[in-house]
Amino acid sequence: MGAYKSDDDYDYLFKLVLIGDSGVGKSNLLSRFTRNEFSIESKSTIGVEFATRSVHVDDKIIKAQLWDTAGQERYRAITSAYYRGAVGALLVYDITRHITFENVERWLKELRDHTDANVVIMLVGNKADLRHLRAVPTEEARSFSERENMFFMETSALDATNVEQAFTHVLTQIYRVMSRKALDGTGDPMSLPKGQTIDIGNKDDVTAVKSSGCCSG
Amino acid sequence: MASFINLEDSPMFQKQVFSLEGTTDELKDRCQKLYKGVKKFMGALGEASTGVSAFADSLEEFGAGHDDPVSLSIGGPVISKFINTLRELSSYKEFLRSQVEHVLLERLTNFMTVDLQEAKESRRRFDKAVHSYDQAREKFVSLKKNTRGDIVAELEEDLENSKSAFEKSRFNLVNSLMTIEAKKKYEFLESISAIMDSHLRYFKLGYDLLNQLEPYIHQVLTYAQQSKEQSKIEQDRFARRIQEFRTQSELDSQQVSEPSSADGNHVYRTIPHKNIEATSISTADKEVIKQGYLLKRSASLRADWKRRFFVLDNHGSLYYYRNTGNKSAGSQHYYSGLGEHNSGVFGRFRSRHNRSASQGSLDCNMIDLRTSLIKLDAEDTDLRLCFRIISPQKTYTLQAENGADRMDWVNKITAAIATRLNSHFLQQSPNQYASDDLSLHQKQNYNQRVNMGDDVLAILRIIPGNNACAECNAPDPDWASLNLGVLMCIECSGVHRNLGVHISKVRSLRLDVKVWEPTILDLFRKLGNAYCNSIWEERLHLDMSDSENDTLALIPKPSSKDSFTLKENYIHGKYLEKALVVKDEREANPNPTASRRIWEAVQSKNIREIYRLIVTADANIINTKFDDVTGVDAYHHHHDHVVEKRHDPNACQRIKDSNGARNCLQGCSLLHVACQSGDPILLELLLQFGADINMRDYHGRTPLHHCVASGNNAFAKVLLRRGARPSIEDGGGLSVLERAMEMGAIADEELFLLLAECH
Repeated sequence: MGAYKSDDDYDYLFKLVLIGDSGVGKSNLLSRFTRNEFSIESKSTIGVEFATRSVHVDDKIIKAQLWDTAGQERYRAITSAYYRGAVGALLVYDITRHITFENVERWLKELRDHTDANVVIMLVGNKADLRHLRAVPTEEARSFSERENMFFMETSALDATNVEQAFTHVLTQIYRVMSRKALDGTGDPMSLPKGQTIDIGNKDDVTAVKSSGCCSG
Repeated sequence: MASFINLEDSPMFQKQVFSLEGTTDELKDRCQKLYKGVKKFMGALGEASTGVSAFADSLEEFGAGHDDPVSLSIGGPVISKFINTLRELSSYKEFLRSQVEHVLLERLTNFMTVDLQEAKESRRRFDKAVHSYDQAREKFVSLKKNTRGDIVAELEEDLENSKSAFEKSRFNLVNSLMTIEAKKKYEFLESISAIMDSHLRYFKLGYDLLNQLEPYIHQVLTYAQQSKEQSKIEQDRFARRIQEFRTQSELDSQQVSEPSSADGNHVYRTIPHKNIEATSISTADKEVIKQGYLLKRSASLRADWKRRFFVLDNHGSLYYYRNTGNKSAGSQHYYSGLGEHNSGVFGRFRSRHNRSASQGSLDCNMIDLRTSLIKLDAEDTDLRLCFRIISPQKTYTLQAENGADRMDWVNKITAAIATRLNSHFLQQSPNQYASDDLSLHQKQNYNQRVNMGDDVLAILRIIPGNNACAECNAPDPDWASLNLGVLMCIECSGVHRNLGVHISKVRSLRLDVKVWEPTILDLFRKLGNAYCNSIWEERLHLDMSDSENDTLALIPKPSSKDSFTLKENYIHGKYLEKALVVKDEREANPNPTASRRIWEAVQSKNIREIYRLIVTADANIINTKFDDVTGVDAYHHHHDHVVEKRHDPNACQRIKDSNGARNCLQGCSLLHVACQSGDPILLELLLQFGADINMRDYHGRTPLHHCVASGNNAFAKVLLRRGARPSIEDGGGLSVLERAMEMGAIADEELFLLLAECH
């Protein structure tokens, strides 16, 4: 039975998928984040694996439902079922293998073909601990992620660098998108928790906050 | 750098001049070498340029045409764009070459011819001046004291003149040497950097040009990739077609050869009637019944064998083509099959005539079958595999390539002859035949089905009682009722169909190929007509004395010859009213007992007992639940739990304690138990008898929940394929997929898909 099974109390449930070439470390990122485990001798994933973990964003509990599958080939039978309903994705490559970075573009295409336009994507360069074997320069990946409107982080599932941050950042961003949508959708600021500032994406943040304050008053 | 500090003519000056001249000579040597190098470079550039344009030309010739088919098939229109680019590149190379010529070569030549030459000239003039100065000086110095004053004055003037000429040429020499000295500081740097610059421009131009073309190149590459994949798919498909064709021909040959092994020479008499029907005349379209190569003995004296392509169509005509691809076609003898004797000359003429006309390059010869006879073996040869078609005009001696093929030809031609004759007599009612007509394709399918069905038939017919129809004892039944587990003849299957699928699910042993999966075959093996009838017809087997008391007259079991109505009555009585079933009335209150007994039977996986109980029970007991059997809530008392959490399986102490789904049976149905049993036949039986596949237990869990929780993926897939809904939530509010996710992984992708489908 899962360690995080009993955390039934949550405000939001977000489905996140892990994608990327075989052997980039998706499963280890997942186990590092959900169980704080890492296994050097991990086997290739068979079928689909799941894990959950709850995190706090603002004063909400967000339950992340993480889906992980073998990255051996794109366009499999399970593809559409795998992506269905995902609101966030970690697109993982291996900084020591340039080809895995080159394939990011194709993963991105598949992801965008199967998910909502609002899906929050983070490009993750994993195995950052292997500095001496680096084949993908950080700047190259960063500029690519900026072009493609993705977030970007380099992680190491082995020494846990940035793993927590990567997942949390994606979840937070999804939460922001969601609440922005809720705001746009209902147009009723009363439905939002009090005292909470929400970045609704306006250039002029001050007026945005002010006007919402005014309306509720 | 050496500059002349002192311009006076002195040994130091002379020395400096000499050393300068030395370096100039050295420079000249080097310049000459450079000149050679530059020439070579230019030549190479020129060659490259013409080479590229020659390449472009050859490409154009290769496939740049916009309307000839070869070019189009290799992608000519695309290539022409590349050709233009290549030409452009060639002109860039030419431009670079001319740059090298102007900037480097010409300046170098200029330097060598003008400046270096000038230095040489000045040196020559200087030497001359030195010489004349020396002479003048000598003359002047050797003058005696008594020399006349005018001569002295003349010589002095000469000396003065030659001195000034010497001085002038001296400065000229120095000047030209200094010019070279100065020029070499910038001349070469300038021209070589200019060359580098023109290289830069050359590559830049090329880059710009190709850069513009880049998306197009990639597009073409992708297109080529796609075409490659496409053609691969087509090749696969083609290979599959070839495979199909081969298996089909193997099947055909097997079918034909099977009887021949049993019956020797006379097999052609065992032609199935269907073959004859198959060759009936279809008035509308012409279809090929059989075609293939046969060896035909020519009627010439030489009697040699020629391989010809024969076609038999459903109009009952047989004709053959001769290969005319070979060069010697014109010299071959030709005999018309149209029932006329032709002289060789006439035949040859006809052959040419035919060829130029409708048939194109193929000659077609018709054999009139209507008046023909077919005989096996040729009288006058001892070759195997021969047969003859004898028409009043001509006898065709043919040889097939194997025995099966020969049988097939003989059968089909015989059938064709028969139908052609029939059609003559029955031309008034051709429709009768048209309706019987099977196309070649349909026939092939039929044959395939028969072959697959044969296995099923063999397996099912050996089960006790299954050699005859369960209702009328007609031999060799080839229909079945899936849920009742019995075989029957086609007539009785019609009655079964009318009972409705809730009573009997009728399937064909031959036609419903997909139904006969291993599990259902196993279920049939457990049952069989003999066992099933021992329950459904138990009263027939009881002592007659016993049944005399029974006022209800027993319906007699019909035989295969009895009328349809009789059979219908019997089957209705047998299954709808269960009139022949001996009801279990040994106990006062049979129903709870039946429930309990079926529960126990399911737990002990006793298939026959379950079948018997389902049939003999008064009520429908297929959806019996644990609670019906025990009668009380054995585990859970309603006040045990908080109301909203009552059904959550996570809250059930019994499941938690034992860490297994099966340990809380409350609310479980027979199907739940069957799923836990792991016996696929048991599962099949319950499903066949209409067990509710989505029944929920006390905790709201369906049988599918149970299977997934216990990791029984095979059963889970069976249930999903049979209509189990994965979206049903259990008492804890979780669907099957969510429960599977809780377990961490779904290793079976097919199961994942089935579960996620309805998510």
